[in-house]
Amino acid sequence: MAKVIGIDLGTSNSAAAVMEGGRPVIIPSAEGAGVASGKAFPSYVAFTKDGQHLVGEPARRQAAINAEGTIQAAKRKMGSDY
Amino acid sequence: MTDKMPDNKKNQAQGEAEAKIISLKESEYLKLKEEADRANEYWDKLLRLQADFENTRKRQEKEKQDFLKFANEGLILELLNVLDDLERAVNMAESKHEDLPAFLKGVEMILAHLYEMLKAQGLKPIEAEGKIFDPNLHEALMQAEDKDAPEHTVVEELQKGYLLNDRVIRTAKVKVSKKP
Repeated sequence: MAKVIGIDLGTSNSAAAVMEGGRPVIIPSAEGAGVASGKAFPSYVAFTKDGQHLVGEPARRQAAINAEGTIQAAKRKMGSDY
Repeated sequence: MTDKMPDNKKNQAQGEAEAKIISLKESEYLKLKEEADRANEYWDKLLRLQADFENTRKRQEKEKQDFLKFANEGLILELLNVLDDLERAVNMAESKHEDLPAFLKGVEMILAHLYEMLKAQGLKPIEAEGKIFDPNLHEALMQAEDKDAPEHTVVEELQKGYLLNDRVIRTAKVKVSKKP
């Protein structure tokens, strides 16, 4: 049976959940949960110079050395023109 | 609701309700009744199963909590040895505090013991210094210009990172090189 996924798209952290036996269960991130964010992961996406696409924790960890290739707090930019 | 309806409408509604009476062959009636009974039976079963599932889930949650409470027992028992050693070392240093080299040697031994113990538990330090920065293992805190090191090399480890059974439990906090 198809399942519905619920997404909490947060400014700093995001999480996704499915219903399991009548209760919502957070799907753990393959990249690992963020620091002090429970089971959620950081709302980061990064494009590295060597062509890797990173999401979540790994993207956050390299933000300091790849500011131009890292996107964070994208929710704040929703609806704005580029 | 019906009270507010005009009389003629009320009569009409009643007429329609009466008109809905239908006749069935006995076999058809029995078949419908059988299906209704079965539906009730399924509904009953569903409710029971759901309650059963909920109870099982609660029990498992409790078991997990209990397990977590005492899962550390083995590790803590091993740590008690380290605690004993450290207490002994402090007592020693308090009674005869002139022999610093011996004291240092003792603490080093305790440290090596602790390290061995954690290694046996599956702990492994993450190699950082001199490696190319890997966001899966390292966390970049700063960047420093360095004309000798290749771009994105870890030039300094600010805090050691560790793997537990090959899973990162703490990333290494590092300083990364940048071409000037």
